Order: sequence, then C-alpha cells, then structure tokens
Amino acid sequence: MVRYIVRRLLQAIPTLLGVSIISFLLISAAPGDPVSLRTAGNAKMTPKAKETMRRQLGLDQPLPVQYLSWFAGVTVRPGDAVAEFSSDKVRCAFVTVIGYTVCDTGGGVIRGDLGTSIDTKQPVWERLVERMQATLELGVISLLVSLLIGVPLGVLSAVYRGGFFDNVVRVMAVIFRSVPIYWMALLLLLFFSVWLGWLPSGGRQTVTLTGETTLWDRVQHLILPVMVLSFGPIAFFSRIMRTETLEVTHTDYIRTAKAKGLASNQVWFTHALRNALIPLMTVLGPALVGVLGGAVVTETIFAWPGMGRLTINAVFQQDYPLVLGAGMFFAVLTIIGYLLSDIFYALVDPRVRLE
Amino acid sequence: MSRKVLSLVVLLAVLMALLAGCAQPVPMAPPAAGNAAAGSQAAGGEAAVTSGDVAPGGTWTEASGPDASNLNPILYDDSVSGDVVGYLYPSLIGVNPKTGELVPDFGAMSKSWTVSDDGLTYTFQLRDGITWSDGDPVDSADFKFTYDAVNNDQVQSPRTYVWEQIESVEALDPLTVVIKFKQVKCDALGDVGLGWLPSHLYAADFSDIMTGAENEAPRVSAGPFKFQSWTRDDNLVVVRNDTYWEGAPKMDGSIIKVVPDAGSRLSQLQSGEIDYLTVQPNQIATAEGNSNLVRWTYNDDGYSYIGLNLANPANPQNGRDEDGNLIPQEPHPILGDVRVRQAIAHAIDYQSIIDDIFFGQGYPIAANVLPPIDWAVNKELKPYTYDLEKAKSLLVEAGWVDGNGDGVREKDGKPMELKLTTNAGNTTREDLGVYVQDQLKQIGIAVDFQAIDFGTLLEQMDAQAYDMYILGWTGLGSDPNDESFWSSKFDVVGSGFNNTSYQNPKVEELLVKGYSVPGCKPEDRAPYYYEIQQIIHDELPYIFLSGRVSNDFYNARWGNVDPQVWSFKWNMDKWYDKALQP
Repeated sequence: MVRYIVRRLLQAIPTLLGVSIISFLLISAAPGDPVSLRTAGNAKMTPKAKETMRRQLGLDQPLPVQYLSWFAGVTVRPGDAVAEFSSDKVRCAFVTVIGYTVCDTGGGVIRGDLGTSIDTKQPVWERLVERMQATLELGVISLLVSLLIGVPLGVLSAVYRGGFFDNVVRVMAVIFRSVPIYWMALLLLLFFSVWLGWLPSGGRQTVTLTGETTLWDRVQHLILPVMVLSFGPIAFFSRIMRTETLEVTHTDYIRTAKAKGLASNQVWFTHALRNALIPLMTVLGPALVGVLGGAVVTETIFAWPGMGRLTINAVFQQDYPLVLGAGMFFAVLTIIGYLLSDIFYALVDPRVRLE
Repeated sequence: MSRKVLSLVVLLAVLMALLAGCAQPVPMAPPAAGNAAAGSQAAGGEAAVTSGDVAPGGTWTEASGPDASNLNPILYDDSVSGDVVGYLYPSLIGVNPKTGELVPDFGAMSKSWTVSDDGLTYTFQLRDGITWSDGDPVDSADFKFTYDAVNNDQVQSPRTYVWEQIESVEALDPLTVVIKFKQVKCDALGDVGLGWLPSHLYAADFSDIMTGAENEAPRVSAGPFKFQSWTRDDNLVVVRNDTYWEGAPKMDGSIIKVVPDAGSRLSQLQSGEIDYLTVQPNQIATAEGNSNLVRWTYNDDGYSYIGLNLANPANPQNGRDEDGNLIPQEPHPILGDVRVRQAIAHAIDYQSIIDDIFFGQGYPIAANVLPPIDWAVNKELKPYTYDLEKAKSLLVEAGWVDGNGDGVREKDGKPMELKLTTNAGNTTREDLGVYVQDQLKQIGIAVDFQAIDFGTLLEQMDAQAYDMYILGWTGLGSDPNDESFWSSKFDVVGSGFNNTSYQNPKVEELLVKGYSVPGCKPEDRAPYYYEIQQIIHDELPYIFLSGRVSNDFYNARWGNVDPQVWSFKWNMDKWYDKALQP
C-alpha cells in the first residue's frame, strides 16, 4: 500500500508541472491584461502610469520569463540591471555570456510561494487558506446532510420499489436534480427571508460591531445554503443507492440472509447497505474535492465567503497569481482526492488490493 | 389521494413557484425634464438637528457587491476600499459636497493655502493639534512620506500619475507643506488629495508598504471612524473614533457587508438588514414601494456614450511622435467623415432610450461636460434632435447612397457596414446595442452588434482596432478638464483613453488654456470649456447617449442625513438613529 501511495505521489509531479504550464498559457491567452482592466474606469490614469504598473507586475516581460519568475522565482532582464533590481530580498547577478541580469527573488512555486495577489497584495496562499474555512463549513455540512438523507432514501426506495414512496422519491429526485441552483436559491431566499422573515438572507453570521455571534445564529445562516447545495446530491445519492441496493438484493448472500430468517431490517441495513455502499466510495473522493472547490452560484447568492467566489472573482479580475495559485491548489487536491478514493475503496472492499 | 391527483398538485405547486420567481420590474415614469444639477430628496427632509442634543448609538450598515481590496490609501484601486480609507486617513484638501470645489474644509488637514505668482508653488498651512488615534501628531511628515512612497519603485501604487504633475513635495516645518507643480494645471490640485499614511508606523525606506499589517488592519485613524475588523469577502467593521478632531460621530459604527448578488442586496434593503444602497434603475419601483426608505436622486458625474473610431482601424497609430509632433491619422473609411457621425447622432431617439432602456433614469446631453459642473456647462448647446430625414440627407451629402436597393448604402462600391461592440453581461448596454443597430438600419447603415467579454473589448479599444463601442464614464470628478479623451497626447496605441484618435489642434489649445488660467477662477476658465463643448458637439468623437442619474435609498430611521451631489456621507459624523431618541 505504501509503495502504491509513493508511486502515485511521484506520478503527480509531471501532472502538476503540466497543469502549471497549461494554466499559465491559458490565463496569458485570455484577452486584455490586469492593468487595462484595473485602469479602464479611471480617467486620471495616464499611459505612463499604466506602463509603470505593467513593469512592476512583470507583465512587460516575455511569457517564458514570466513563467520562470512565477514558477522558480527567477527573473531575467536584458543588460546589466543588478543595481536597479537588487535589494535585501532580491539577489541579482549579471551574466556576461548572455548579456542578461538574472535575479533570485527567493519565491516561486517550487519553493512553496504561490505569489502575491494583484488586488489585495496578500500572499496567495494566505487568501486560499482564509477561504478554506468557510468553504469547508458549508461544503462538508451539505455533503453530510446529502449523505444522511440521500442514502436512506435510496435504500428505502429500493425496499419499496414501485410503491408510492419510491415514486415520490423519484419525482423529487428529478425535480431536485433538474431545477437550476440559481433559481432554487432565489426562490428559497424570497420565501424564507423576504416573505416569512424566518431566516437571514446571507452571510455566515449576523454582523455586529463587536463581531459576537451565537451557535444558533451560525446555524440559521447555514440552513438555506445547505439546502440549496444538498438538493442535487440528495437526488444523486438516492438514485445511486437505489440502483446498487437493488443489484445487491439479487445476490446469493442476501438470499442466504433471508433464508436463515434474519429480520428484514437486518437484511437491508446490515448486509445489503454495506455492499451497496462500495460504489458510493468511488464518487465520494471526487465529491469531496468538488466541495473544496466551493460553489460559485450558492456562495454568490447567499454572500458566503468561499473558494468558489474567490476563484471566479480572480478570473474576472485577471488576478493572475491568484488564479494560478488556486489552479495549483485544486490540482493538488484533486490528485489527493482520487488517491484517497482509491484507498477507501481498498479499505471497504477486501477484494481490492492496491499494488 | 390517487397518484394522478398527486402529480397534478406537484405540477401546480412548481408552476406557481415559477411564476412567483418571475416577477418583472415595472418601469417608472420618467422624471420631469430639466437638467437641474441639484438632486431631489423624496421624503424625510426634516430640519437638521443640531448634533449636541441627540442620543448617540446605532450602526449604519450598507452592502457592496465586491469586497474592499486593500486599506492602504496609496495601494487600493476600488471604490469600496476608498470609502473605508476615507473614514480613517486624513487628506490635505476637502471637497465641498455641494459644488465639488476643492477647499481647506470638510475634514481637510489644511486650514488654508497660498499660491505663488507663477501659479506653480502651493504652500499649505496645516491644522495644529491633530493626532492619530494613538496620540502621534498628524503633520507634514506624514504627507511627504505618503507622496515619496507613491514615487518609490518598490511600491506598486496605481497612483504614480500624481507625480506627472508634481515637481516636488517639501515639509517646510511640521505644519507647512510646499508643493511645486511642473506646470500650471487647474485640476492638478486633485492630485494632492491622497489619504495620508501614518509614517510613524512604517519603515522609513518604504520596504513594508506593500506587505505591512496596516494594509489589512489599520491600527490608527485620524478620521471619524477607527478600524475594527475585516472578514474578507464577508464584512468590514469600523467604529466611532472618540478622538476625531471634528467631534466623534453620533453612531457607534458602520458595517459594510459584502453581498455579491444585486437581488439579494435589494432584499436586504427592503428587510432593513442594510440601511443604504445605490439602486439599479430596474429596481427603483420595488424600493419606492417601501415606506421605510428615503430616495435620493441626482445627476452624477457620468454618462453613456458610443465611442467612434475616427481613424482607420486597420492602421492604428499614436497621436504624436516621440518629439511631440502630431502624427496625421489615416481616416476611418466610414466614420472619418463628420457628416456620417452627425447622421448617426440624428438617427438616435435619446428620449426613448432614456425612457425605455434607462427606466427614465437619464437625461439627454449635448456634449462632454455635465450639469454637476454647472459653471463649465455650455447651456447654449442642445442635444442632437431625432431626425431620420436629416440623417439620411447627411449621408447622401457624404456620398453614401443605396444604389442596389438592398437597404444598405454604398460608396465607391463598398457597403456601409460597421461593427458595434459592448461588454457582455451589462444588460442595459446590450439593449442599447440592439436599439442602435435597429435605428441605424433605418438610415441604411448595416451594424454588426456584438456583446463581448470586457477584457476583449478593452483589448480592441486599446489597440484602436474597432469601429464603434458602447460604454460609460463614471466618477469623472468635479473638474471639466477631460484632455485624456480628446488630446493627441493620450492617443497611444495599447493604452491611452483617446482611443477614438480624435485630433483637433484647436481643441488641444483650448484644453491647455482651460487648465492653465492663472488663478484658476471658474469664470475665467468657463469660456474655453464652452468652446470645447461646441467643437466636440459638432465633431462627435463620441455620440453622447445619456447623462447618468443615480438613485440612492436609505433607511428613514436615520436623522440628519443630508446627501449632496458630490458626497452622500460628508456629514456622517452628525447622523443619528431616530429609534434611539427619547
């Protein structure tokens, strides 16, 4: 198992390198540039001031040099510019052979430095971690809620297949799965916040001058976004579980369990459920990664400060370091997510061996 | 209940929910015509209460789509951060909220200033005894430090342009600042209005400006509020600064909540969760129905326009060479002819745009200076009339006729086809694009309209590789000098706002005269701006679609709120919560 994990992690290195190059090329190919976007509405901005901004952000450099600077923290500039760019943190040397000044900024992705956000001037890593908490809170709770509701619904549907309960669950599943999240969220907001006034319309807590809050207040703020985020997965999990449970019921061991006179509850929930859960494990890893990625629409409507909004805003604002940093972050998470999924699989199903 | 009945009930419930979700905004009747610069307040115009006799307390809450970015006055680049910076950091000069005039008042650190005879050197006398909230004095060293920081290359400030006007900044003594300008420029005073950094909290070599903790959580304030907390993308809280030199505010503090969705912001305004919101034209009817809200409507400093490329998009060139000589522009094959531009101007029914697309929240404008800068507006000028016949005859005069009867005019065998773009997602501009396309079709111009990504649009504009685009200016400020739109100095391919490649030596001369009048008295400057507006009106590098009308709504429980065209919050320290009064 350990060898397997080490091998998978080593395989991840070229993947990450590829991801970094592709995301860098993609973002550079996007029309416009961060400076134009930030200055477009400011009539006081002059061409010279824009040029200064571009130079300070390194956007005046050729693409490979920009990539090198972001990835390895090494900048290259033509001519002898040692005096101009050297400082306490930046060490420069003039390489006579090529006629370029090479500087080591001490940063770069390979040294764990994801760079600095153009908008907020914060380290990208700090911004990502800041958001993680809110995202985890919302994502993990809605994932749990969807599992706790979706799995029993699926099993019960299988138990009562073709009956009234199964049909209701199926209709609900179709509605939950097909109604657009945006519309559903606005509708719930209108109903519970504006008309009934029962629940807050957004944010993580009631904001006060002192920042004090109660657990109940936090829970109230979670209800609507968790509902919106759970509807789809509840439908999805219940359908998977129904199919899998039905499949399992035709197996020999269930027949044996029934034959030896076990109570129906025990047959379904001890023998059938455990085996039916195996396929669910394979989707859980990616689902968890999906959760960490945040939910752009839900976060936007309910003003939830999560990863989804952070990333999408970074794209719209062309905050290159933040977009690239988030890209690398998700790439790593995805790799880990799938690895965990495989390990879980091996743990619940003794027939699977990781070699 | 049979299965059929159940399905029917479910279907009905879904349908009803669908209908509820699709409520349409009702367009408002347009306000009475007239270009009055002054705004109007719909209700709550009670007499101002003197601040001594009210009970303090209350929290003013507002919502913003985007979050603040950075609370450093020389680094931030967005209006939300600007609001917070305004609460905390003092400025050399103040803005008269009624006139927009720059004055040594309204919270300004200067109590007076004098100008040298050549108009280049300004000497500012600072107020004595003002301190940061930690007790350190606010003095000329802070001002000098701030401006030196902007000029330092380690500091990535988006405001380096201030140093294009300023020659030097000197702190003569703790209470005297001397600023020397490179040339006499009446609007340059605006460049000395940056918020001051508390220099005693920074390294003298500026090395911690970019990364300092102050950018995230400012420890000191010399304004009406102090920083309390900031949860990014969620909320930002400021509280009363008890040591504020003009008197501590009545309210306990203020919260800015980040609410990205416009519909959610409106819901929160209606439910009283927030106290203030600038409301979109299509939301006004909803907000008007709420008796707890007071509406403040005014003509702001922005307008919507169609930018016309006067030069050939196939051959974009700078307006001047390195020595400053004019580079003649190769004219645009269609828009290069002023008669064509005038025909376009006559083919648009501005009033119907304002009524139907801006929901009545706009007013026709004749040229580039807006009513809030009343003294500079050329009131003789009238907006172009909607006159399709005149438009057609102008096109015939320019040689464009529909020879083959396909509905599109031709000249020298080339059809009259133009591309029009705007940024996708802005539904108002998308509607404008379709409207303009339709109107120009009626006079025989085939317009290919596309709503494209904003980045792509900016790239085309910067590259000057477009025919026409629809955009708007906002926040143009209280000075009529807009040389960056009309001077060939700013016709720079790849940047520069004169992307229409407008070139008129007479206008350039008037622009320079307008901003270099000795003494900068409005009455002396006005004639130059009248003439500029006349020429811009006639030559039409822009088709001016509509002036912008802003609509702010605020909760009626707040007393002493006295919004003005140039500032809503200028007397925020005097506001009080009526609910808390005995």
